[in-house]
Order: sequence, then structure tokens, then C-alpha cells
Amino acid sequence: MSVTARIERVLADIRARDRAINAFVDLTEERALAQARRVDRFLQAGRSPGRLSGIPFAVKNLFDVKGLATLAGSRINRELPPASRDATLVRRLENAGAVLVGTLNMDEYAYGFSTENSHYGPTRNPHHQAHVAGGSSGGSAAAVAADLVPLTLGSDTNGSIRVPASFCGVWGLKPTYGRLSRAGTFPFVGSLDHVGPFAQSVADLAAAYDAMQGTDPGDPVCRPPRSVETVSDRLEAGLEGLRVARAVGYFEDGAEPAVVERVAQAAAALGATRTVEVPDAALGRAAAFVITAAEGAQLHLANLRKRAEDFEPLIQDRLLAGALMPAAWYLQAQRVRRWYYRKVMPLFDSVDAILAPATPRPAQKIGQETFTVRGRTMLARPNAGMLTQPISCIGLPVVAAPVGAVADPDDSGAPLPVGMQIIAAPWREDICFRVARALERAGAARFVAAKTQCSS
Amino acid sequence: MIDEAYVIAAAKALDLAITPGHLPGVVANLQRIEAIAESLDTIALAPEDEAAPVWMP
Repeated sequence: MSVTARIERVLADIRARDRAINAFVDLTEERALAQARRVDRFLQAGRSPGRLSGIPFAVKNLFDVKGLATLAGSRINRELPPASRDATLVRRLENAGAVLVGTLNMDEYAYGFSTENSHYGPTRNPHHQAHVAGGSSGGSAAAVAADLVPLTLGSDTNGSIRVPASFCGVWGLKPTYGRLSRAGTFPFVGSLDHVGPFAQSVADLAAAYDAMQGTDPGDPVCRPPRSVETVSDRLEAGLEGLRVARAVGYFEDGAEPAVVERVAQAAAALGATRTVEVPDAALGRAAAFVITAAEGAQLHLANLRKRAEDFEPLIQDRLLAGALMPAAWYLQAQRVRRWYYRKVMPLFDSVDAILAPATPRPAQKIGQETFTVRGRTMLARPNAGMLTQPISCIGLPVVAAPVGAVADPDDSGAPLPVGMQIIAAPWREDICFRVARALERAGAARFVAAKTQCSS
Repeated sequence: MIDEAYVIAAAKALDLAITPGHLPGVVANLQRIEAIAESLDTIALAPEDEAAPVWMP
């Protein structure tokens, strides 16, 4: 089958099945077919268009796509002029032969963990459509989980790749802060913003990651001397020489027992018997929370002055509150971040990879305000990220691995997926990937496509 | 200590209109941030613990 025929089929499939989950906001049909024909021409000439030849992909709609306004999940950004060029990572994936087919739903301005978007509707969890997909990159995770596309891009400031990857049962990568270029993406919190891929297998995640690497003068933190350090060629290196440990303390107390059990099973499959405690993880989370509140609000101050009512109702009060925060709180949080980094880094003298739950529990229902974790009732939307925030606070690389399904403690329905974080020292994505591939090979983590029907 | 008076005064300083309908929600959100910010005040930072607004691990 030609790439063009395959892409036509993918577009028709999205049109038919996405109605049930609402992962996509825009389809880029014309562009997709033009790129598909280009790839076909390469193949017909006996040349390789790149390692991602003909792979369809879609991006969270905070990535610039030439000709479209970069919505970032908002109504306000509809008034922006269309992007005049593509985001760096979109360009790099297409240069490797991939085919952009559309843009994806998200929490407005990436401020949320549920993709309950009042302007564009909620994205539904493909495994159980009454439940959220997670966020803020909910469309990105759901599109992969429903097998609409095998590859998507998202962003992660406090967990926005890892939370939806966990809730939807897909692989996700939040690389080291500064590793992948954010040029041409709509920011949320410059101090903490990362971008990365979602995929259905470790090999696909690695191939996309490798294709997107490289410094970029368009992103002030993606710069030399770091350059390309590919991982695809090291996936099968196994665990030899790697010390893997399971996080206890904060990461065990903060997750449902069934989720902790899934992580323990994954650790056992790797022969990892050690445990570690990430020191002061709660303070790392607190620092990330305060930094997010301040920077996330300040970015939108002009529009908060002029048109606060046009923001997502779920975040209006949070944004207004963040804008009014005393400077001392923000600077203390930034200083604590450095202090916390100094406390955490010695862990990597004795371990190479740390395993921890990605979310406290599986996805809550759409509209659910509170959820239960170990019998404690807490606000659902902010606390979905309580286990991811302490890690992104200091920019560590993480692969989120689908480690099975567990029951929702608030609902008697079918089990829902949960994910595990594979965490390494800065710039050691290679270790995350080796551990991820070992888990996948052992059958302890694997992608299972959700069965979604056409809802017409 | 965050209260309504602080929110009203700070909003005025920033030329930010807070409608009466939003005032309780903004106060509650800022009090939540305050509680979290207070937990960070328990740490005795050294002068060399510099702010890290652009993080380069």
C-alpha cells in the first residue's frame, strides 16, 4: 500500500472514530496528503525519506503548525494570526519522513491534568469514555491509545505527558529539561516546560526522540554543548551494569496500593530489589506548584486585565490568584528548587534508574471534583500530578511505561490503565529507554490499544 | 496572611479587575498557594542557594 493510501485511510478512521473521544481539534488533510505523496516519490525513486517514513503523527495544539492559529486549548488564541512556520519538532519529524495529520485537544494553556476543556469539549479516555484522558496533553495520549495515530507530541510542565500516558496506557517521554527544542510552541511556565513524544512501543518512542534531537537557537535552553545522543541503537543493551531501585516514601504513600503493586511487579520483572527514598519530594512538588502559579499567570496578565471571562472557567480564579502572588514566594520557590536538586542528585551515585508510579490512581470520571487515594479524599485535578511534579521540578528525564490496569477506587467499573515513571539522572535518557525496553521485552509493561467504536 | 483586603489591594496595584463573583474563588486559590509557599519557608537556605529560573541540569 502506498503511503498516500495509508494516510487517506488514517484520516478517514480519525473522522469516523474520533467523535467518541474528541482527541483531535483540527485535521491537516491537504498538508498530510502532500507530504504522503512526497514520501511516496522518495520510495518510488528507491530512496529513503527518513527513519519515520510514512508514519502518521499529530501534535498537541500548542505546537505551531504553519497556516493554523496555535490555540493552546484556548478561545483567546483563535484570534491570533495563523502560524507562519512549523515548530522545530514538527519540522524535524517531517524531515524524517513522518506525516502530520492533525492537532490535538488539551487543557487550556496546558494548565490542568484532565483535558476537560470547556471550549472544545473534554477528551474522553479511550479505555472508558466516562473517564478523563488525563492532561494537559490528553488528546495526544488518547489518540495513541485509540490507535488513531501511532505517534503524537505533547508538552510536560508538571506531568502533562506522564499523567495522560498513565491514564491512557501508552508510552511517553519527558526528556531532560533543555533536551528537545520548544521553539514554536506556546509556553506555559518557561522554567519548567518540556516537550516530548507518545507512542505505542519503546522502539517507536525512541525513533521519534532520536529524530527530534539537536540544539536549537530558537529555544534558549536547548543549546550546545549538548547535541544528539541517540538511543535507538542502545535499546537492546539490557540492564547489565544498571542499578534499578523502586521509590518508596512519598511515592508509595501517595499512590493507591494497587498502583504500588503494579510498580513492584515491574521492579520484580527487572530483578530490582532495592528501594530508595527521594528526599523532600513534597517540597520539590511545592516549589513547582508555586513557580507554576506565578509564571503561568504572569504570562497571561495582559489578557487577564482585558478579558478574564474568556479564559477557561476552570482556571480563571487560579490564574487571577497566581497573578497576585508576592514576589518573595516565587523567589523562595526558585531557590528551594536548587536546594532540592542538591539533595536529590546524590541518589544517582548509588542508583541509575528509579521506578515510581506516574499517577496516584487511574483516571477519574469526567466532571469529578475529588478522588480517593488510600482512603483520603482530595481535589482530583491538581493531585493527579502529585507524583510527577517533584521530578520535572528539577528537569530529570522520565519514560512513562504502561504497567497494566487497576480498579478505580471511586467506581466499580472496569479496570483502567496506570503508568510508571522510569527516572534517570539529567541527560541519561538512554538509561530510561534501556529499562523501558527491558520491561517491554519481559512483558511487564506493554501498550494495549483501546477498542473505540464509531459513535455516529 | 492572605485575605480579601490583600486581594483587592494587590489587584488594584496591578490594574486587575476582580469581579465580586470571582473574589471568593481568587482568595481561596491564593490562600492555597500561600499554604504551599509557607511549607517552603521552613527551609533554611544558604546564600549560595540561588534562584534557578532557567534551569540547566
